[in-house]
Amino acid sequence: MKCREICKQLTAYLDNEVSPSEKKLIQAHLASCQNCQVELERLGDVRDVTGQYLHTQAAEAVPSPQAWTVLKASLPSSPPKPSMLQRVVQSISFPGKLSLEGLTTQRIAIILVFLIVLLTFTPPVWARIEPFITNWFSFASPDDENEAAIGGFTAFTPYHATYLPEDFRQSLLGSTTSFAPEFESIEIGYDSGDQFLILVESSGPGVNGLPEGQTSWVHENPAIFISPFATSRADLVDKKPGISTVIEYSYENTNLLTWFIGEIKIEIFSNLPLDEMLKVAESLEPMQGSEGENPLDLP
Amino acid sequence: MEWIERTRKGDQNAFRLIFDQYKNLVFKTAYLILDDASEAEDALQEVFLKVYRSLGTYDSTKGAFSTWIYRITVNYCLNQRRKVLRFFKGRDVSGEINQGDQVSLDENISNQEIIRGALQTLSQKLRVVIILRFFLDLSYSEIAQVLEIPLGTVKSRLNLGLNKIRAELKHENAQESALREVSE
Repeated sequence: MKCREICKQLTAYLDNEVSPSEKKLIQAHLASCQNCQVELERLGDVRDVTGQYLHTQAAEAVPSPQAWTVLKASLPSSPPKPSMLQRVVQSISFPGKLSLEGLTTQRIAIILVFLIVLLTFTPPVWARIEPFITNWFSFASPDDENEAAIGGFTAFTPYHATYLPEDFRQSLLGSTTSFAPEFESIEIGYDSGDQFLILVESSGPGVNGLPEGQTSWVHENPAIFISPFATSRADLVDKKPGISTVIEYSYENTNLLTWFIGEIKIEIFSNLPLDEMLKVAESLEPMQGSEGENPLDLP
Repeated sequence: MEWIERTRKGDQNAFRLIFDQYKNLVFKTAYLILDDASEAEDALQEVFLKVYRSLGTYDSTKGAFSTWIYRITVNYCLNQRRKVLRFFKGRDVSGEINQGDQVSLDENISNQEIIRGALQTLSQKLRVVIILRFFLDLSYSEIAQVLEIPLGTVKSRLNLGLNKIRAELKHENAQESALREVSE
């Protein structure tokens, strides 16, 4: 093996997570390569200090003594049963997962978790959501391989992308409410490995006009393009009473394209170039609305 | 597990035993991912509420109970990160970003702070595998189960994550050495 291949295996080697044959090859290489020996030693040091740091940090973190009391007050009095929504989630064997990753070839019902941006998370999210699931919006991915639906969203008919760059897939669907009275927004995430695109549509009193930036056009509507909008080190600490907004924004080279469709503010955050963002922007079409239960056929 | 069955029948005392057994690990894991104690408190509540409501869906033949709880915890935290992203939009934070970058040059940073900074430069994907491996001490196959990713991806993310931390440490140490030289 060459040094580069060995280096890729060194962490697993340190963790004793290589096969016996790989282990022999690595040991044989290390015996004759001083550079890789140094590399192993340094990586081991980093591994140790990282572990020490995590344990030190965690040792200081202790949950509130009232945690159980608070939780108990939120528990429903009847025995826990899977709700319709949870049965949907269960059908893809991943409680709480919003991703469609790994399930491309089948129709998938993914849903809905209201990402309630809140001041605090009490009363519990699910208790807030369940009584409101009477309306649904659904849409298919541009290649017709996936379908998704979101329940309980009421503010406006949301839009979805009918064009995506090659290899892009939907990876997130959620909505936000309670940020401000009558504010509601929906968020759809798409990604392809290192590239991503997040479509945010919002309406209500929390929505402001367009920011300053490079002027562009989406169909006939004026749009603003900001590049770069943020970088990977965008750590924003902005505490407001009751709202935790300690932000870690880990995407790199993010651009923003924003415009209005009627009263709905559309924002696309992506590390794609402007021309690709515009193609996605111009492909937006309204989702299909329906009342009652989830319109998708559940497996 | 007997407690799970009893909880499924509505026995909240049994659920308390589950809570007591896992609360620290859930809280600490959330704290390390979210890097904020009050957000970790929210995570603790939401994760256990989810656990309580979803116990009917837990299938012991598909994996350990702890793996299931960690998965819920990690997903909650990652979704929190996506969610707070929303607060970010529309704000001009460039000034604050720059200020943050300058701090490391002006202060005598401890190793702990350097590591913390290095971890914060990692993407969520890399950071989470680092935490699952080096804090929870999960094996690669357990991490693969929690995140539902292939074993090879766990290996490559861990290797990449450690190397990125190493590069960051190297960078910070070089800056510190340069500062010391200037002040001397």
